[in-house]
Amino acid sequence: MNINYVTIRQGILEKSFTFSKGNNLIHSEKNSVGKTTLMRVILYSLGYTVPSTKMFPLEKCEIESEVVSDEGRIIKLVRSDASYIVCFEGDEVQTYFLPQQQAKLQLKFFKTDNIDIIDNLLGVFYLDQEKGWTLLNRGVVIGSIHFNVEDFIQGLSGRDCSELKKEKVKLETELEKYEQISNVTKYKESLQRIGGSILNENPDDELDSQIEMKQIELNLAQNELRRIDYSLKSNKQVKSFVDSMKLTVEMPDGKLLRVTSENIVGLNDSIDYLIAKRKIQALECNKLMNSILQLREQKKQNSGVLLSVDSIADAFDEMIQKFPYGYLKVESIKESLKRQLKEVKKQIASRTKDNNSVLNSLYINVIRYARELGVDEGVNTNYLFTSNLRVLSGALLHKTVFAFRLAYIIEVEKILGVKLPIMLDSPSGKEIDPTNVQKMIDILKKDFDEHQIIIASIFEYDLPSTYRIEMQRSLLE
Amino acid sequence: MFGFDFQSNAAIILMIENMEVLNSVRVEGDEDIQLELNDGTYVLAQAKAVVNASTDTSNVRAKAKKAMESLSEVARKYAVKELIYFTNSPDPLKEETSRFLFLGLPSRVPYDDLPEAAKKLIDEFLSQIDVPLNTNKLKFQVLPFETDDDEQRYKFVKQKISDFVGEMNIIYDGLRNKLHDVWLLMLDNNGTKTKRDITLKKKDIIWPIIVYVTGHGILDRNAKYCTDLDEGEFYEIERKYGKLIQDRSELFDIVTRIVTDYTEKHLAGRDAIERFVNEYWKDYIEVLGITTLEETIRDNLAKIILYTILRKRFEIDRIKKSVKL
Repeated sequence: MNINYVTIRQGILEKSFTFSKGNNLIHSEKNSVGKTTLMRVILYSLGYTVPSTKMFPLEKCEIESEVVSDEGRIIKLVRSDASYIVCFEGDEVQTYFLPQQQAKLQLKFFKTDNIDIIDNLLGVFYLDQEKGWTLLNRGVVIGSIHFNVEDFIQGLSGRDCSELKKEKVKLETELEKYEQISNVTKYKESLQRIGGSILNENPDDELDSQIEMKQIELNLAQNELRRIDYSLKSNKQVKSFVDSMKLTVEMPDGKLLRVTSENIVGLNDSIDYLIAKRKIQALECNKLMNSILQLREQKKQNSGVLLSVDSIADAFDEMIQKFPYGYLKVESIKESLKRQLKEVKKQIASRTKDNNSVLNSLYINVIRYARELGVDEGVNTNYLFTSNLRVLSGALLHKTVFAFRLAYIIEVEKILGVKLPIMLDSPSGKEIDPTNVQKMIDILKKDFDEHQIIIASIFEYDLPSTYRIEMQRSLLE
Repeated sequence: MFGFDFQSNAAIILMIENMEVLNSVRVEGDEDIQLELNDGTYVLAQAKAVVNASTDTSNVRAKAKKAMESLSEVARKYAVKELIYFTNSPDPLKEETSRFLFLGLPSRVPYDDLPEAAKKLIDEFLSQIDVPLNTNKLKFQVLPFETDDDEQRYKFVKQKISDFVGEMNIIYDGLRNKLHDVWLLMLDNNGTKTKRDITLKKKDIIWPIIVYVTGHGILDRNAKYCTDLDEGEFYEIERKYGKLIQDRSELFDIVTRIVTDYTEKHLAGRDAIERFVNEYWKDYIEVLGITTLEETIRDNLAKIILYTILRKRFEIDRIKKSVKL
């Protein structure tokens, strides 16, 4: 596929840049005139979310581009807002919302909707001036767009690891949580070493304790009240029985005396006694109930009070001390999660790497170009997945990155049948001497002459029939 | 709140001072404090308190004047024995010649005992009232009542209570505090009743004393001497069976049987109760409903209950008699 032109409209200003199907050089004598911006405009026009440069706000422009697929289909793209793009192909007009429908849009020219591939394609064909020349197999391409070699290979080789990846994310999240919990338990133990009177100093605990004590006292008092009521009822029953009996006794002098509750010795006393006792007991119960209410009110007020910084720290310490799990328990859970995560990663790696012709093919091409660039020492199949970038620096890394990218481009062409454009921003970089740069250019000339190549640089390169775009002082000048 | 507190405490003072002839007491009735006596006459009091009485005399005369008006008004409705202006101000008339009469301890000064200048002041207040009170019945009573420290504020009232129970030969640690608390609660509660005829009867005031003095852990402690238990064993039974002891000593059908039997034995002497218990406890095991208990516990419990019942009866009679209830 190749890009025919890009037109930039900003207010009343408009400028078009056309490109050849072959080699293109976006050139300027000086830096900071818009070369990188133009590269980013191209990507923006393809539906990517790229950051604007300082000088040029992309989202305030209308960008139109024309892309030709390898089969000759012409696709016009117009993006006047970051959130959508309009695609014209023949009589068909289609609007795609971005970034949600980016994959659907790019299916038109990349000929795949495999997410693992689509998400990683930019890291294959575009080398950004800043990050591009140090992105080997995992990292940031530009802005928030990443490249991951495992996902890329899984996509190209059609090996679906989505379930395992979900499991991996879940375990990683869980592990992160437990890292935090582990910090909490460590802090808890440090508090305990300092000396744990913090729990006792918590006013809420003190209040809860008092409320509980009062409640127990109240229960006992209420039980006593019930006992008194029972005795009082019994005595009153005697009284009403006596009154109802209407007994009469004969006195020694022969007089008759009616027996009533008033003249039975001790009966009224037994009742008055219990009435008084009951009153005292009821007052005691009321007193306790009021105490409990007051304590509850105090507790409520305490919880509503805005705490000072000191008391927030105390409250935090208090909470931490109450955390029921110890450091060792948490560490054992962490170890278990780590083991599970390792196992899942192993399964993903196994599914990615085992008997994978894509992997073998990539390796062969990486070796080939690394050898041509003189950086092939220590390269094996696992090297494709290396994380050890410290051993690579300066020119070594620069050239190795180039070798990897070329291998990726070849593989994409093999699997998808798409000749990706190769976009290189400042291939001379900071550390590369002209000899090495020439070696890179020679490889492009030799093996990638059917790809559209777009280079942005202040330098000249020995590429045949280079279409030159000379930048002036700014992008739209 | 301070005013109500003073009023209730003043009522306690007046209750105690008139206990022998008291019938009932009411606060916040037709007058701040109303005491009905046995002969149908009344002691009526106006209670006026100043928060910082010892230093603030700014309104004392106005208060005194108002009190005279109120007492004069109510005196028309009742058969009055005494009309009392009760205050905490040590200088209730802000009058030089009478000041010394009220300083220091609680004081009680009839109108007739006031110096002329003070009388003149009162007469002046009364001259502005249509139907003024009879100064023969007028008394000025001062109770020191100040500060937020309860011990200090209630010092004199509690001393009065102590003296009162002391006169009944009651020795009970903490009784004055308990009585003070319960009487204040009863008076406060009475003050909230809108029906003016709801009063506290004398028996309502006296029975709490009896309840405290004969309560669990008080009276029955002395029962130890009737038993053959050592101190530890005795307290263990008393604690464990406390509710049973109280229960049996409160149920009239059990109490009357034991008290009647005791009375009929006509035992004399200070140890009459102990002798009765030691001799006859076996007869009441079934009555007390403790036959199923283990023998040692059962036997000693019977003695403790018998003793408690008889001592209680004795104390009730004694206290009632001393206050003429």
